[in-house]
Amino acid sequence: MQKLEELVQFDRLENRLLRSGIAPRHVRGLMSELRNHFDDAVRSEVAKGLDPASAERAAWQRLGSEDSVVQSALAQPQLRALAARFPKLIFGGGPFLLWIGAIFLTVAAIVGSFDILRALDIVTPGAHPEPPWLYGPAIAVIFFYSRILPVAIGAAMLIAAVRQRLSLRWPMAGAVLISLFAGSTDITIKFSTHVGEPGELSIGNSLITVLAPITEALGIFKPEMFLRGIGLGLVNIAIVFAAYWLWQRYARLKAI
Amino acid sequence: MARKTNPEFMTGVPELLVLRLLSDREMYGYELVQAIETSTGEAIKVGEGVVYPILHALEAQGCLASRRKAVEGRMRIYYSATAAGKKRLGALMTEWQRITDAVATVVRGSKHAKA
Repeated sequence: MQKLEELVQFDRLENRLLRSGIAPRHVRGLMSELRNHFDDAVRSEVAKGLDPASAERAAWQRLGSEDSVVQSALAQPQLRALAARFPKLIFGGGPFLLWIGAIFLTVAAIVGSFDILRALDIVTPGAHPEPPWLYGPAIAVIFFYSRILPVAIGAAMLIAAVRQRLSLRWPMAGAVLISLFAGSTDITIKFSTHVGEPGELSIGNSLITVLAPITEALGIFKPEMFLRGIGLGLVNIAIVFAAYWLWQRYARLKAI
Repeated sequence: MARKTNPEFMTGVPELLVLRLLSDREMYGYELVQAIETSTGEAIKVGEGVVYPILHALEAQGCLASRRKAVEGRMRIYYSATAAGKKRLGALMTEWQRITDAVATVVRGSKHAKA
């Protein structure tokens, strides 16, 4: 059983390492080894004849000051977390880029799959309408990209920032950006219903209608679409922050 | 307050010592710190905790390999030098030799000047 003073000292060192930008996985490893080292040092001092209290004091001295351990870690660039070095990029733009990248990879995978099926003469373009069982997976894909993935990415970024003891400013900005953009993005899959009719996959974003003078001139201004996009975006934001709040509650309960 | 250490002239020295000792045999952190003190006749004293970030960084660079091993009911992490680590050690030793030779030349020169 660790003593309170020992727990506080290790906890303080752990927080300082995380705040200094050392990657959480390295901090966990370092702390585990430092605790083991401390135990070994206490045993060694007791074996030399010191009483337990003096042995602990001597073991702390042997470990060195908090500053020296933190400085030693900071001197090693390999231990620094990417998120601590580039918070704006990782937390501000990262979620959005990750989400866009995932959508494009999926579209590329779908198109690529059809190309392969065509090359193998398994599918002939326009020869038959898509089977009805494709509707279910298509709706699931749209739901995944507009609801589940952006919320999961936004919440994961917030949690990662807390674990790294970083400021929540950029992760929050990133979560709001991805939530709004994903909420206002419409992914539509239109299946062909009869032979010869092509299917259609379209991706659009209703926030573009905010450029009202231009979109009005182009005849594509749809205020109801804009408001719907904002509404769905706000729902995403609420889910992200609810997930983050639940995680914080869980983390606090786990710590008690 | 931590015990007295000698941080001056220590840049790169812990890394050199760690690689040198771990190229002979694998050791866990506490064992390694004891080996540093013993092998240098306690001339080099560092806060023992500063060794761990160096071990982790060398491992991240591929210079060290680690493995977990349960010893007397406790989990130890044993480190050993990899081929890349031994190559790095060679480079560090060459650099160290160059510096010590240069310093020795200066020291000899100042002795001659006094004589």
